[in-house]
Amino acid sequence: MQIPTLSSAALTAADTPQLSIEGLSVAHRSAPQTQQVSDVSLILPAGGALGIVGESGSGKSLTCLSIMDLLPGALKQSAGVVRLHGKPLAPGRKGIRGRRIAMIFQDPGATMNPLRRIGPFLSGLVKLHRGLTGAAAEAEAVRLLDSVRMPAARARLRAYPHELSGGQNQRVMIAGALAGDPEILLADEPTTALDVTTQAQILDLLAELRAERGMGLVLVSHDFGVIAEAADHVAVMRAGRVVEKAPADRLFSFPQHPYTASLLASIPPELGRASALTSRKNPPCNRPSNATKAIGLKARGLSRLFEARGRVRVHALNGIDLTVQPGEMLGVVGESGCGKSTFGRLLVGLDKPSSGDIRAGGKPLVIEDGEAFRNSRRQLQMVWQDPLSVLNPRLSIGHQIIEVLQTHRITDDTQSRMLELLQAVNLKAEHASRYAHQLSGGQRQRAVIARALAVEPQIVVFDEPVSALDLSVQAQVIEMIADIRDRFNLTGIFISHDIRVVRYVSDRIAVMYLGRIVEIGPADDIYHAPKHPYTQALLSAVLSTDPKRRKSRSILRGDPPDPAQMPSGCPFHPRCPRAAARCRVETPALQAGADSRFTACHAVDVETSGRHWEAAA
Amino acid sequence: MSHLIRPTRRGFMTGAAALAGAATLRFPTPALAQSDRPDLVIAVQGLVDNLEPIAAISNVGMRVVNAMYDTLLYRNFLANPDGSGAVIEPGLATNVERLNDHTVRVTLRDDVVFHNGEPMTAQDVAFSFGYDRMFGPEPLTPRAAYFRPDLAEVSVIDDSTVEFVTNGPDYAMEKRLASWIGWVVPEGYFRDKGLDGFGTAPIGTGPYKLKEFLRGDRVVLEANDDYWRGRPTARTVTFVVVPETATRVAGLISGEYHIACALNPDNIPLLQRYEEVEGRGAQIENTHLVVHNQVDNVLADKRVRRAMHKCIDRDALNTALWAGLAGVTNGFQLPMQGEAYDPGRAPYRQDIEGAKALLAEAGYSGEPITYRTLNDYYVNSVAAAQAMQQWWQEAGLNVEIEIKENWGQVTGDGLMSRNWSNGFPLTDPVTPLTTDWHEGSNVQKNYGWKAPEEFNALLGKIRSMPNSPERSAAFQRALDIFDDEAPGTPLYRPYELYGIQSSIGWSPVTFEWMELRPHNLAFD
Amino acid sequence: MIRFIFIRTIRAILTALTVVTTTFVVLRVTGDPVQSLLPVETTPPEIIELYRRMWNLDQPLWQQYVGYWQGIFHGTMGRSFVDGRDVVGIIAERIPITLELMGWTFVAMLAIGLPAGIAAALNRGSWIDRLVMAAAVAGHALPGYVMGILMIWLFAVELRWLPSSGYGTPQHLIMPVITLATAYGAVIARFTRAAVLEVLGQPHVLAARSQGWAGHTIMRREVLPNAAIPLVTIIGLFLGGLIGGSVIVEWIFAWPGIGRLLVTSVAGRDLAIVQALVLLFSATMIFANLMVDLAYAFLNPAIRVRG
Repeated sequence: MQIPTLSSAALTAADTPQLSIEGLSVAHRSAPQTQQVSDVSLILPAGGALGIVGESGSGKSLTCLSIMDLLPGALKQSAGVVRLHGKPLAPGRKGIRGRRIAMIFQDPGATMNPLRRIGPFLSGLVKLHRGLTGAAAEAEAVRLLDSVRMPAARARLRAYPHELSGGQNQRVMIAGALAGDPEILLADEPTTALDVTTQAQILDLLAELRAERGMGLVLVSHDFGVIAEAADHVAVMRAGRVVEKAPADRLFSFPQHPYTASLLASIPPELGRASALTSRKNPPCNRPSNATKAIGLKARGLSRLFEARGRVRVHALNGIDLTVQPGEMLGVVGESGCGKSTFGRLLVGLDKPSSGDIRAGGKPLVIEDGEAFRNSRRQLQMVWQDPLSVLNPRLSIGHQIIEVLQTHRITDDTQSRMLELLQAVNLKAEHASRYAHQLSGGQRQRAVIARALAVEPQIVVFDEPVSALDLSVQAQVIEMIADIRDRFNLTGIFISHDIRVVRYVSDRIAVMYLGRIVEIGPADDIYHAPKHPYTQALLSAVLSTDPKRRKSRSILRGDPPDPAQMPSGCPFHPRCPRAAARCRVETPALQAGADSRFTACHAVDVETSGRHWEAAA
Repeated sequence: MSHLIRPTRRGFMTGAAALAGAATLRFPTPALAQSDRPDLVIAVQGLVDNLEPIAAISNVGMRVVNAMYDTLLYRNFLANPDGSGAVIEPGLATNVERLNDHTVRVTLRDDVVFHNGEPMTAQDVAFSFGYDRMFGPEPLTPRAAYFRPDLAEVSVIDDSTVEFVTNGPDYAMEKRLASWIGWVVPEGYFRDKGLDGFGTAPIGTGPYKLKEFLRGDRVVLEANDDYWRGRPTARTVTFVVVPETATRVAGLISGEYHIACALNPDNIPLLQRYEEVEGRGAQIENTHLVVHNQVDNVLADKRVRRAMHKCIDRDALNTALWAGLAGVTNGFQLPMQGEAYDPGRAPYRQDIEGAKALLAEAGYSGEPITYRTLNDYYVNSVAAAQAMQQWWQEAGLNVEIEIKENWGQVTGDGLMSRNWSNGFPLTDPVTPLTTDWHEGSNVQKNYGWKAPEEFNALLGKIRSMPNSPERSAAFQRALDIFDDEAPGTPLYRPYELYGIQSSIGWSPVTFEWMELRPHNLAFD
Repeated sequence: MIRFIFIRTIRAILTALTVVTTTFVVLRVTGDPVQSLLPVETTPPEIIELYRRMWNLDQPLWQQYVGYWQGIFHGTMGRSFVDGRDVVGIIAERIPITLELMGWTFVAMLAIGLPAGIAAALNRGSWIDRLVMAAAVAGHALPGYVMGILMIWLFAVELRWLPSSGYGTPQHLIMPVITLATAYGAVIARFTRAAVLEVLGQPHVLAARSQGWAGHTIMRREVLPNAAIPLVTIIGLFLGGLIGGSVIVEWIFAWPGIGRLLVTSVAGRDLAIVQALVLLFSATMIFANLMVDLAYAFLNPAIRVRG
């Protein structure tokens, strides 16, 4: 692998790097010839921020773990050396771990001992690294929590991890990492498990801490946006090797390596609108039966109430009114807990609404009546995030599709229809004989979609269909979904937490917050000119890799809300930068604005013209 | 104790044992202690929970109570070297006198005391057999109802004389007084304690008295040094429950037990490998049987029953299942039944061809016959059933085996053939023929056996006559009819195998108890 | 938390009631106890009637059932059908004997299983792991009967180090406890290994290593407490299972406990004792389950706090 000399020279410019990795290789203990990481050399200049980016399996996390000598037991460092200020680090990293180099991880909930309260966790670390005990240690724990901007720090000492949100737990982990006052922080996908608004908060916190402490940062992520946000030097890894390393600005502006360039091109905002790219690229797919016209979908006052944990009532959905036109793709976006998945489940009849009704093609969806339900089930299909859990592991892909075709008596020539379906989702005929575990993640999701299409549905609900996929694959699958939607004349609901992805495939976007639609309108309008403060915040949290498009972001305060604790008035008011007295008592209704847009916000109501929000200024 | 636990023949094991000795891990061995007499330890397969002598009648209870109580008359099993003796000798009674066909009068010893030191009186004897305890409508020992003679009255004549009057002629009364019904208990103590209280802290006149009773675990007896038949030879006798046969054998070989009861013939080769132990045993006065319910089925035809009877090769069963140790009788009789026994009676022979002929004659054409067994309640009964099924099949009999879990299932609806056993508790022809096959018996009353008039008349003779050629002839004629009618078929006498330390002088008897009186227990 | 305990306790009591009622009915419906105890075919009818009256079997089933409960509230569970003694007394004298066996077995099974499982997990893939797992499979697969007899032959007959059977001294305990504890300890070892491995693979252990904690601290603070949660469930269920396992061991080693009492009472169809033992066993199982639930709630703050 040829490494461009230009960027190497730039990286080695500092005199003695704070941290350097030289010729690192990681191999399996039992199969030393198969290297997971090959000959990786990286440098962290003093006080710098090194980003390591790559798709799953690229070796980026193993590289990071090698710095701490924390490789999984089955792997070992087969070559190379890690140096701190030029001095090689000894195996075991005694005196280094937690003291000079600290580390935080992906899922903050899982990286904390569920049986330990926050207080003992932090004061234990304070004692370990600083020798403080008793009240002094506790005071230091509080100070650490304060330093990671944890609200009500002292009160948190008695909390267990499960009582905190993901963002709060990550703050606690960072506080713990700071306990030894390290000079370098390693962050392995620190925001991947978090919602976008929380991700922005954590990245800001890391930046602030770096500035305050002059701390070096090694940031590992699959997300170019995160890397672009936080790193000033970037290494791109692929299949265990560094394919490109360069200062961030240069890398994002002028990627040298084709792989880097292709990854950057896969990021949804860079793709433009789906219709522009894909419309009528392929001829409409032949349907064996009479071509059906697309049908619409109409939800009226749709609510879903869960009675959880005894008397606590959770309003997962709260009076949704919605119309999806025949052939339209509606994107639904929102953070975890906003009710978007519940909405999807109600639409396909996997759950029953507490009140309200749903009509498909003008006919009500009846769940109680078995026969009618089966028919409506045929019209409605759902595609989930995790294709492995919905595919039968013991039947080949082709077999599963043929089985569906036979069950619903779609056609007599099941074999050729099955091959047509595979072709429609860009799978090859040879994939028909494969089993789920023999396919890649993207191929599995294609197979799931092909199987869903086999029953000739009129409406398909996609629930986070690409969230588990690597960036490059994500782009291909999104494109394929846009394509089949046209060819199969589908009406679709596309649910995602990522507004970039939603915007790419959707005609219109509905933004949900705490079980309500707070804003709905044409995709481009929402994306470029959001009116609701929450939509604005969501878009603000989208991280751009284009240095020219970096902006000062408006970061939402607080955590994604808990549907079990519904605020009064406008549900968004506790986090809203524009909240007024009225917002605390009165719930705003969706109001029609210009260009078939609807917004539920008192602040928007009072504006006569609507502020044009510049997303890409 | 050295004579009890000898070093094993294998050298390394001796070394290991020495090592063990050095490790001082010692358990109490049942050998000679400080006293002049040894403590005898007997490993048994089970114990009864009540040591009242009639309540204790069972294969696990009688070996204990026989050491604690005496009978008025004493059957000397050891008059024959193989333990099958039938001689009736004086016991608690010095003399027995027959006044007429339904009255006997006994004269009691005057030197017998119970374990609590009180002398045995005529009142005690009369109570033991009396209306209140034995033959009234609600006897203090309800179980006596199965075993009691047909008594009309038991009366005290004087301090040393008791008279027994039966309802009908009963020339077997003397033998009954020497049987399991005849153990004498103290009246006052018994009435005081009641059945359960007495069964917990029993008192008798026997060679050993109760020292400790841990239900389900052990009974410890200690020598009754005032025993009227002489000083007991063991200081204590402990019956300890070791339910698992293999464990009993192991404990015997390791020297922890002097005697291990109820072993299998399979264990014999193992016992032979150790010179300090050996197997001793006796054929029990009991016969395993096949019995037929003939109501509304093909077994109502005696030719079919006879055919089933003829198919069985009893010697083959004995060899295969009992290592040849069980007893195969010549007809439904035992020598100890006395002069009515005919040693010349022909033994049963397998005759498949004869069976086929009988079936052809009866017009049997494969009608299904079921044969039920209650698991292995009778030792080896499942294996025996399977062997017989083969022979029956050979003769064309379509027999299906049904293995059941409880008696209710065995005797419930659809019963045809099943296994059974008959004991011979008296040294007389009255049992079991006149008790289990008579006119009022279950077989005749409920199983539909239409016995010939002659058979029932013969049983009446056997029951009411004193021994005589005429009675013997009646008995033999009844056996002829029994074999011809085949309401049931004797198979074999089971074998009771004991493992014992070779040095101990003790002989088994042909009954389901052990004789531990001084004359049959010696430590060299 | 209190609500949680309350609900679990009520549920436990209802379970016990169901078990007792079911056994009561089933035992009486499946066969006439008199028929099992007495040779019905040769017993005079009046004697059979006498026995029926003695045990209230002449009453309708519901009356017997009511009487049974009345008895329980008066501290009696009827009288043995075989020897007429009070059932409570009969069982009470056996309980300490079985408890002694079970208690030591419990200790031994944990003493064998926990360290072996932890050692195997910490040395995954090494010879220690393979040895422990092989021993665990063997220990679990070897029937208690075979193992018991083999031990008797080795230690009692050939070496004469230990008494072949019986109870009363510490030496008597050794073989039955080892026989029982081997099978259960093997399972405990496997569960412990799995639980420790599971926790070792959790991110918080990796995080603790990255924070600079020493191995033994991580073991004590991160791994063992978290592994204990699933283990407590298994161990609690074993508490009930031990009674079942004790039946065969009590048989082989002539240990006059509850297990053997059950065998002889079932064989002798002593309904009163069987009934009481079923009640005792189910109460033990239910109690063990309740304890597991409570221990689980105590160990796991996620349950404790939400209660």
